[in-house]
Amino acid sequence: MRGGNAAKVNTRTSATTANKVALGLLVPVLAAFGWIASADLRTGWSDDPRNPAEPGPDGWASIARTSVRVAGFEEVGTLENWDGTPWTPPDGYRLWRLEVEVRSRLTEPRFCTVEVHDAEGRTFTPPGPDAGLPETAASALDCGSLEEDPSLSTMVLMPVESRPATVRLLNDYELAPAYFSLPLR
Amino acid sequence: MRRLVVALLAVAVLGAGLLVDHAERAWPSTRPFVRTGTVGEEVRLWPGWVEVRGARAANSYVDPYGDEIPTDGVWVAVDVVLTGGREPVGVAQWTLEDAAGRRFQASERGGAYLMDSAQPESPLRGEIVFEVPRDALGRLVVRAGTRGADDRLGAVAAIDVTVEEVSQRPMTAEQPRWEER
Repeated sequence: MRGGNAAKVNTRTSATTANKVALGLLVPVLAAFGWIASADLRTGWSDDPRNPAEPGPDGWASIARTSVRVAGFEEVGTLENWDGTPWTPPDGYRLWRLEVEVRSRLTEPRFCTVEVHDAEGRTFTPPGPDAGLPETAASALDCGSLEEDPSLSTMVLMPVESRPATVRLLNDYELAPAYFSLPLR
Repeated sequence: MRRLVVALLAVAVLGAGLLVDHAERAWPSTRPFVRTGTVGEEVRLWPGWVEVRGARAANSYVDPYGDEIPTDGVWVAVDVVLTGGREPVGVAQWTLEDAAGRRFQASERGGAYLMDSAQPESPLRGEIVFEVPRDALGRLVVRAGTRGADDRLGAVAAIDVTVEEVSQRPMTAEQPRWEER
């Protein structure tokens, strides 16, 4: 009878040890599984532009080794069609030309897509080639080492009642989650 | 006996894999978010809207440079208005679906225009050109999709339009232009 109890105690002790070992393994295994399974979520979150780099008192906004400022944001009255005739924005719209200035210590060129946000929070981008502007409006501007013929100017067409407030320069691969956020005064 | 079991198991695994692959394509568990409408109705195409104002067909199409582009079928030009919402709307693919379920992509032959984006509160109007067989005419569905060929989980606007008459006069598509506000 005593021998039987001793055997039961031994079995319980070994079972408890096995449980402890299994529990000790379970925690890191579950943590590793959670880390692997959440890769897409973590990557997506980190790529979301959420850290605006705003200009200092000198007007320049900086991310790492590159600084950008708005050199001009002016309304464009007319453009010239390919046949020399004038092109004016359609009734109810204003065409704006954005110019930026870039200082960079990068050695490689880098491009940023352009978004202009108005006071109501709406987002405008440069119109595509099918939209009928006589000049191409660049969808991306230089925001790294400048090329020989840098792209530093583009245009956006906005409704007349829209008040341009901020320009954002974004690069999902090289800058995100940071981006340049430049107020338009 | 053991070899037979192994062979049967291998066949079962391969068969299950093929079945799962077929099921994903034939009965996909994810679909596009489709909004339907008719001519003259603004249909939601998140984050914007699309409206079909009409459609016409012709035997020949003249490109923006004045050259006639031949076809064995007919040309269909669909008059559309694309408008952004709080942000620009992008159209990755325009298709025309006939009553038999055949889908035709917008033609880029002859420099036809593809309206692929529009800004907030800035309706862009133009004609999308399709080249279709003559027997496709009748009841058609214009589909604008934000995600291209694999439109699952993308937004799709599907708008009914009827085109029956075919003009003998060469057709020139209207270039996209902003609607006056």
